[in-house]
Amino acid sequence: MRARVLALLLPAICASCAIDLGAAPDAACHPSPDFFVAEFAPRYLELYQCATRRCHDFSDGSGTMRLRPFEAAPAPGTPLDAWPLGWRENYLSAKQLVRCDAPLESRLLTVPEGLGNLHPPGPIVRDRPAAAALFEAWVGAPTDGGAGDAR
Amino acid sequence: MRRALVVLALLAASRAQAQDRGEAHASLRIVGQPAPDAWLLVATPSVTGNVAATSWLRFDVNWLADVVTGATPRTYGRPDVVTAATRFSEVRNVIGAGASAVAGPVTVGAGYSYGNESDFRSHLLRASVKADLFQHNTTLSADWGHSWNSVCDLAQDNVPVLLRQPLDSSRGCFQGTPTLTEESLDTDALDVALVQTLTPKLVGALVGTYEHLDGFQSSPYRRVRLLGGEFQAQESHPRLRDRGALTARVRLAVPPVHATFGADLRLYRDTWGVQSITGEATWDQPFLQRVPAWRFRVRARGYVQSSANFYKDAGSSDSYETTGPAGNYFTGDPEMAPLADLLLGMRATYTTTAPEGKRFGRMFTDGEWTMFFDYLKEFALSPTPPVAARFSSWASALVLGFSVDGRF
Repeated sequence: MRARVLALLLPAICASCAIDLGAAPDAACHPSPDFFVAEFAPRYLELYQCATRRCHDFSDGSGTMRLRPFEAAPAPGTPLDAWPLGWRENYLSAKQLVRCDAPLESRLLTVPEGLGNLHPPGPIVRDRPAAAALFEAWVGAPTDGGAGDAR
Repeated sequence: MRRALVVLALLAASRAQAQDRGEAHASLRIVGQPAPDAWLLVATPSVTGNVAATSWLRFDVNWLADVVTGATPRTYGRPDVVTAATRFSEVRNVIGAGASAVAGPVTVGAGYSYGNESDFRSHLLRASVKADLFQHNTTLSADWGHSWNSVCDLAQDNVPVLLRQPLDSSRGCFQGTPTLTEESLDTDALDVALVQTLTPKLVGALVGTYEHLDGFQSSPYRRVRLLGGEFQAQESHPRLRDRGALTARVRLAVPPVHATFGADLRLYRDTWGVQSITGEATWDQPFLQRVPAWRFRVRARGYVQSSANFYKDAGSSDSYETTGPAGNYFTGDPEMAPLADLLLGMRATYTTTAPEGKRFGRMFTDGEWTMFFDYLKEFALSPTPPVAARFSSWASALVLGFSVDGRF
């Protein structure tokens, strides 16, 4: 109540009333970039044609996930910063939708699987066990110790 | 939406004070925001009415809708600000009703409104009290409103803020979809006003406004790129916000030309660090002195605001892209950036009264037709604010409106 009374006078007297921003949050989910190039992109994103027009094409697609055309793949161990723009952005876009702590709850899997009917074209993942195994393998693949470390 | 509810409620409450048997109002407001691909267009039709049941009791009803269509960028960050723009179309509806009672110089009112759109639900309770004192030379009023809002969002309660993702669309909202949830947002708003006749030609008003918001205040659709794209997370705003404003107004009659000059000054501050100052001047007079039924009003308004204290500009060296969030927060909301704007507006009004003993349409004793046009140009006060294209356009928004009022 006292805070509200003070806030009434905010414009006139309160020079330092401001929210506390808190500490920067710690969050980390860095599925293997090399696995993305070698396994995940061809066996999931390209298999289900996610990057096509009217789906998740970067300039003409829908939804917040946008994918650029897949160009020549970077060699294993290439630092992420040195990847071709399309591959780098596609990796970063895809990994936002991955849950490292619970890979089978990743939106990149559950939405095209049809959970909640949130995918406008409907379910498109035809081989669910294979897709689930692919997500678990991607999240479980080593990411450190090489040039492909996502960080 | 919440602001629209409050404005509508206050409008309805103020109209209920009229001394006629009743009053009806209809209007259409169209706002266009120029954009390279597709304009953002908002059409807002509204209808309000009030009627006196007895000499001391009045009832009011209101309806308002927003029809929005266009395309907006949903990711804030350099690589795909424009190309990821998403086309959308939405309809919002607000309906409400209320009552007011007069006891001597005091009028009390209360009402309820319900707002509904595909991704947002709102319930608003409002109450008001007004005292008309000293032969109408002094008016004291207070308006209070509390709204309970529900915002559709992805169900991601236990997901770290940097990993939360935005909604793609409102598909499945408020339908029990297992991967979606309803975030709450409660607001309290209080306005206290004093209007005083200062001289026979001068009226002054002082208005204090306070608002407390508690709940989900991010856009569920907006996404921000952080740390070189390593994280592309749903916008994160604080859940608490207190806002306060003081407004001073004067209206000066200019009898030689049957005109009124107005000046407003508003100071605003909130707990997110946004401070603003608004100045507005208006001039209202008949087109021709011998035809007072036709009047025009012109106005000019200037506005400048500082940024929120968690805002980082994409063009600065400490942008979200380079240094990450500001504490727990990051925003892609253009309203959080430092900016200024200039509004120029004009309005034409025609007032007519039915001959003695007759009514327009067998109902109205008099009526008023109004047409208005506003031009708004915004100016960026930081290098690369969100939706930067709107600052470089020749106009940030154009507003065209028509309204008709009838009393019976």
